[in-house]
Amino acid sequence: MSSPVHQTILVTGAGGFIGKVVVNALLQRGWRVKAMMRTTRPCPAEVIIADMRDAGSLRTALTGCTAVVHLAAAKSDEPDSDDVNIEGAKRLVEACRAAGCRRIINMSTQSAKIVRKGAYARTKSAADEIFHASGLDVTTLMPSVVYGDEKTGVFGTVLTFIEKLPVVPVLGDGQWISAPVHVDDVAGAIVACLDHNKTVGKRYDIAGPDQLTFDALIDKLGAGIGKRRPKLHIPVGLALFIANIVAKLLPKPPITVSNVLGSNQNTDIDIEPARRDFGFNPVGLDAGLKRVLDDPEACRLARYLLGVTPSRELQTRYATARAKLLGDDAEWRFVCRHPWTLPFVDAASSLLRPQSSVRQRIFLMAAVLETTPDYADFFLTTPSPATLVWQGLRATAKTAVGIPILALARRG
Amino acid sequence: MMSDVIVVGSGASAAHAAFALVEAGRSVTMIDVGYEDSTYQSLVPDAPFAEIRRTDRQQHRYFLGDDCEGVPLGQLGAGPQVTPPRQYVLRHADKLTPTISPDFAALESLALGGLGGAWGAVSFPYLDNELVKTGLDPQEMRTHYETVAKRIGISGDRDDLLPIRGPLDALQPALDADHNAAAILGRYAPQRDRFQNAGLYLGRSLLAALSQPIGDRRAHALHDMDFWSNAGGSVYRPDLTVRELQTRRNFRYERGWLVETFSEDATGAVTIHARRAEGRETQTFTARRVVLAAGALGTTRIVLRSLRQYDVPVPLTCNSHTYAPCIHYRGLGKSYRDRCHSLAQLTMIYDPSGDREHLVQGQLYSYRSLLLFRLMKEAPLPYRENLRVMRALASSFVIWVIQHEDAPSADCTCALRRDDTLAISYRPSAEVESRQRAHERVMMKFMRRLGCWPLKTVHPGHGSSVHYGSQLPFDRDDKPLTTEPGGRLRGTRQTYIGDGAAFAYLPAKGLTFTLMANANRIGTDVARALQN
Repeated sequence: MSSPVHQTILVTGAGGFIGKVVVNALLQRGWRVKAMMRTTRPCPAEVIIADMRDAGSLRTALTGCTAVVHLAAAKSDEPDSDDVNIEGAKRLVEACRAAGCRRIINMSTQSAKIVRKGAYARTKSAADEIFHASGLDVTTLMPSVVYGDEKTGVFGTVLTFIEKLPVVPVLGDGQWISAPVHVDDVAGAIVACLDHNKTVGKRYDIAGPDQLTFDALIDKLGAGIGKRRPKLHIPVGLALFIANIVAKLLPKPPITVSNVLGSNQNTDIDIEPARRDFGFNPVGLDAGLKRVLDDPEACRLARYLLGVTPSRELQTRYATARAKLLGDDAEWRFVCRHPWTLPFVDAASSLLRPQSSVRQRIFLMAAVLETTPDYADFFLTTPSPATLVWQGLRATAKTAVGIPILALARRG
Repeated sequence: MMSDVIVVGSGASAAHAAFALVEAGRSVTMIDVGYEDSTYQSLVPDAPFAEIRRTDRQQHRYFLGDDCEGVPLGQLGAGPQVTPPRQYVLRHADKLTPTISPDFAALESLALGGLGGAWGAVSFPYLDNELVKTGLDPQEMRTHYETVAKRIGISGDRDDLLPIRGPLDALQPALDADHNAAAILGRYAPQRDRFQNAGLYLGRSLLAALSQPIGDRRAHALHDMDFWSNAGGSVYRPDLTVRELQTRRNFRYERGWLVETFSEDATGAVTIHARRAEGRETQTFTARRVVLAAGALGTTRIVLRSLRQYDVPVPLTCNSHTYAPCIHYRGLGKSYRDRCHSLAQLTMIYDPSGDREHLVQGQLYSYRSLLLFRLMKEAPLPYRENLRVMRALASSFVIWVIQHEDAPSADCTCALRRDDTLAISYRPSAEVESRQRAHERVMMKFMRRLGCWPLKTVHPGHGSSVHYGSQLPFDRDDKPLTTEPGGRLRGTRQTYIGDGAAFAYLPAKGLTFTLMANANRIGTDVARALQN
């Protein structure tokens, strides 16, 4: 294991979803990082403006580097996919030779292994061959679905559908198997490969420990944000037809032929070699999702109390305390099924069931919201005493409505 | 190595008994369990409350506690004043010094500084008649009050309370009153005669909090963080004295030992038998004298166990107290002053019989720094509205804590069982309780005249004042399980009772200041006896 301290590494695609996390992970490990992007974006490392289509810019970018993490790619079957992915790979190899940089971590995809390929899968697969034939010290990583926030990639698309649509469209029969992997684990794998020389010349599947069908994944994400949605399975033929049309109409289409093909052909995913060679130990899907998704209970309670969506940190603080201190009861399960009843059940419980789980949960959230600078101004300013009358009226009205609802809730 | 005197415990009594002995040149070994807070104290910034709330991203750790121990989900527990940074004060006491009672919740401490770590710092000397009933000689005690007051620093005013609070010369100027207290005093001034004709007196509380620095301890910074930290040592805590003693050559602090028994032998030595608070190891310590000051209940356990007096009931007194949360309506809509403290602002003393024999005492606190969420739990309102109501009320929310005297009676006793638990039976007569309620009603009537509208009265249950005494009361007569006026446990030669277990009566004033003065007296006397 060689210490990377004071060595310089180039990250292509550093402004992207995975790139940002990788840059931070490399910095933390002690690398000097050059973050390569096409346009300047905020970045904790030195930003290098360069383009996979411009050999000269790559040569400049690689000056002084001993290693490169190659993340940049054309992913949406764009017309220049060959130029970016295949020719880009050749240019990068040439630039590495010119700069005396031998080490390459090449980010590929599970799709590179499927039989019937779209432009993305085909060009990435070709690029992999170019890197491994280059004679340089290459490691290729082939990730399954990568997730890390609620807006990006497959997870982002599915979550948007669940939030916005009454049914979730699925390309194909929904039986495609993936093993979603958290972006932190992908970044961790890259850093670890750089540390372990035995990874040179090898290709590794990078995936989470849990494999599941696409239908199951949609259900899991729906459950995670508290919304269950029916699925609409679009036959593969029809989906390809649609993808072909939108590709002609839109420069960055929302679905591509590669999406359809990639999510309908299974690949053998085996993370054992990665575990063995560099100690890859990815987080499970449930734990990973907790890092990604809003906690619906915490958000509901904070919105009720203050009309705010609390930071992820506060959500976790609430959820941890809740798990430690409180159980469930019929009233709380009723409120979960009918979120609109929360204010009324709370109002009626304040008189009739002051120690109920609903009351205790709101109380706990109030404690969490009060002890953070985020909302301190709200808690520390004194409003006009006139508000007492208004709040009193509201409380009375809610309690009146709440009493029959509470009776209903207690029956389960 | 044999020392002159062993002091058991490190609380208010133990610290001052030890201090007097060390000052007089005696060698002292203090034996204590000595838990300390290692988690929170270093986290709390030395800054004003509002600034901390607006800037400190770590604040949830000490406001709520790492295990949410500061979020009171259940019924009334140890009391809101035992905040997470103070919970070390009670650590493991329920396990190591178990009590059992259907009607009395006893709190004990095994911490360095004892219960003094969570003390409210209100420091009134007793009146002469109160001292006599306690079993103490007034003339002798006055000098010890002054000595301790100079040592720990007490601030306050010479105001209407002066004739009824007990004299004290060594007094620093009072700390600034907050906006509620200032307004209430302003309301009181024109009504003074009416109040005094009814036997009520109002003034600034005497507080063991510095308005002028003493040694390394700085004047109170008025950050309103007193429930959470004690930056600069401005508020007196017994651990300050113990830490100072630890720099003296004739003082040794033996930490980690729970004292079980003492035994005297014919050679004039006394031996303490202790075991590790955590672990099985046992150890003996020998000295020429022992001062037991492990807290009234702790000392009682040691004495009853040593004398093998199992299942023998001894008296137990405890100041019963009542909270009256009030809206001080003239504080409504006002903002907090930037600089204030969260200790008692005002004291009201009520003399119902007109002869100063049965005083009742109330302390006024402003609520703010204990946080709104706790307050919301007490109001039967939906939380969304609750929060907005409490926000509007917060600056006008004050709490009067009313405290009653207690004298030994057959209704209230404790006994050590053979399984080593202390069984407490505390059932004051209906007559006593109805008299207390009547006094509270009078006080609340006058609180309303001061602009404080009581919302309700909360009786937090017997034991919650954490003022315990009278198990081994001072007595001039030669009766078993009593204490000689000089402090020696009757029937022993070298064993002294240094804490509240010897107080034959608990005035409503709160006993901590008198505990320290009495312990100083005993320490001084024991030192003198050893010299002769």
